Amino acid sequence: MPAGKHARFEADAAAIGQAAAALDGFCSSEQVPRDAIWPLQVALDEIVGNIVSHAAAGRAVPAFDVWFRRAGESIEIVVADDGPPFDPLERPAPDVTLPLDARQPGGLGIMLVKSLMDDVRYERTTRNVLTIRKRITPGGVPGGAETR
Amino acid sequence: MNIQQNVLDGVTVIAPAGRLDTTTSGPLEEAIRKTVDAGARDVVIDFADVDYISSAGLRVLLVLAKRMRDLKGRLVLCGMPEPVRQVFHLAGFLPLFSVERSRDTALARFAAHS
Repeated sequence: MPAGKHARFEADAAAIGQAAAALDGFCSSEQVPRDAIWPLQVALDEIVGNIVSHAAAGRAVPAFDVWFRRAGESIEIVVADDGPPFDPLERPAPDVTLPLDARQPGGLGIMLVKSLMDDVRYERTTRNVLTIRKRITPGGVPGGAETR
Repeated sequence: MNIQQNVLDGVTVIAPAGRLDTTTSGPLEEAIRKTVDAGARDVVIDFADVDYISSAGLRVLLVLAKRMRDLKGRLVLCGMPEPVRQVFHLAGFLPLFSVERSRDTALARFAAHS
């Protein structure tokens, strides 16, 4: 079991706000700088939103676990669910250069997670385990800023 | 989510506040849909009080942009704080919208054209 502050949620719509609140509490107690908090909030929303929508679609994901921890100069969040094997990192990246007509909703979530985090790892144990890491050192500006 | 709506010189300004995420984007989508259903064709979305936006919020804006185009309406986004602007940038959404710095410059755009 991963280290860190642990919370377990039923995979329903309420869990999204509950997980966000748990992250807020953790960031507050760890005094995470503001410019690192919102990327973590966006990333967690994408990940938990995915889990809950899969559960709502009937693919049983009764509950999921989240661990929040500080690892040196980074914040790490581990999310583990009991759904069927699903590696979100294998999804093809959406084409973000298409004109309005060709844009379809969806596919942007995991791209944002990859862009905003410094590291994203997927592991299949008996569960889906996704680990995201965000640096909170001064150099740890949100990913993608350098592409501006 | 708190969503303020005003009509200023015939332009409907919709200003959501707080987080624009999986939980709150539903109510925003509903508010926008009702407003456009009621006939609004000149619309400003003011992000000044939005903390951050996730892909669920982007989806609402994409749906709105397509609808306004189909209706030959006009849509301007404004007041984007850095977290919002950066997510729009990463998603490649900035070129899809008219984006103004402030509500005033957004409204001026309508005044100049009408």
